[in-house]
Amino acid sequence: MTLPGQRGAALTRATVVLGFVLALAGCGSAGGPTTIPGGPTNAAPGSASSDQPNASTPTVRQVNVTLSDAGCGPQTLSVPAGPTTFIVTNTGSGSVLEYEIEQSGRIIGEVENVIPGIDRTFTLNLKPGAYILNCPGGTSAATGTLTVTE
Amino acid sequence: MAQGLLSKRGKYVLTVFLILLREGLEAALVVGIVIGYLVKVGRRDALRWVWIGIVAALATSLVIGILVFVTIGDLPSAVQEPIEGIAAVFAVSVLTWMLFWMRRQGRALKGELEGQLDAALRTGSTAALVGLAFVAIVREGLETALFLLALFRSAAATGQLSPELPLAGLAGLAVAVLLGTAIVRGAIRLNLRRFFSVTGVVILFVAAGLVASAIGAFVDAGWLPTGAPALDLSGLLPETSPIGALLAGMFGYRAQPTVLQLVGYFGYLVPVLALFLAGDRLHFRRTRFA
Repeated sequence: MTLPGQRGAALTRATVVLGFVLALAGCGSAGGPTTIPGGPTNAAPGSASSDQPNASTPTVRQVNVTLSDAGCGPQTLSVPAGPTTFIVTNTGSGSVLEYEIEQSGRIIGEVENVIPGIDRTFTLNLKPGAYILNCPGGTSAATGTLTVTE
Repeated sequence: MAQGLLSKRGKYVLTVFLILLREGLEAALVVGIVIGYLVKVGRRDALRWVWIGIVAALATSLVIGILVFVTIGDLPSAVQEPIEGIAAVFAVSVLTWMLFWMRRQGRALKGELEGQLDAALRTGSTAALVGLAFVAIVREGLETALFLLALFRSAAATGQLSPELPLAGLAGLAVAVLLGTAIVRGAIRLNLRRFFSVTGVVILFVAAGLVASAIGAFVDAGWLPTGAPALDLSGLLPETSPIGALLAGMFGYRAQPTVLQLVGYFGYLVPVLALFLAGDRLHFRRTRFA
């Protein structure tokens, strides 16, 4: 109905959207590199029982795991109980992109789109027991086991 | 070694491009349908609200994405997956409502005059459409923002990655928006009745894909039990291939769907398709699939 004005208005809107996005992206790159979850570890032997996963808490244990075309690496993993951050890197060609931890047939933690070259993390408060590692699309190591000790 | 790295890098670029294309396409398609629909039914005045919804969704994804990124790095799947699943359920509801509203209107049309549409699009339904556009973007937007931020961080900080990876990601998003726009532009050219039937069929498959996505998200959240894949098409058509990514983004294609996902997909698609096609004999068809 008001077609002539419509186009100009649409342009204005598009500009506003773009400006907004750029402004936000600017904030992001300024704050981005300062906090890297895979930073220095302080594996103090405290037994914090926080339910909130928080990578900046010094008592969070960090565990490095890998994805490869074979699947989960290592295929057999054992870690002590407590808040644990899994830092997942991909050493494969990119055919396996997802790392999952399951217990009793339910996923309790996972990370997707782990392309080779970037680290992605997830944090769980692990309780002692047996867990299953699942790396969908893997060949010889598509599944593995995680044992959480006291 | 160097040659191997080069070909690997090419592959990474493609992977990143396709991931972002996949994440962006569904949102672009749904938002495009909402815009096309409002234009076709003569409610250009409501487009303003859709644009506000889009900006709000992008802002929400970016702001929360950045906050999460600088504090805890990645959003726990226990938070992210329920959001994705619930958003998918909401989107399916609104899309299904749209589908049948459009079918009714399409059948009521004697000619092709848009003026014959009753002014039934009340404030309530506009809100639902704006909500749909918002939800379609936020659903994958947060995850996508975090993924892009992780790419930029790796490119900037570690030097592991060159800038072509984040750029490939942005290109994937741009292509998603272009594809969504092209589809909608094509649809807008159709006459109203055809627009309703063509868009209806697209909505049907998008919504069925969203049902399967919702189930997948609830499984990833730990709300539903995991299941072994019912079939494995990853050899035939991997999700990481260009066509697989397109199908995944538009219609929720999964290379390894679980039994639950297949049941959800066809459990939605078959009855709703039957109702959609049933027309006046609707009450007969309904009993068959009850």
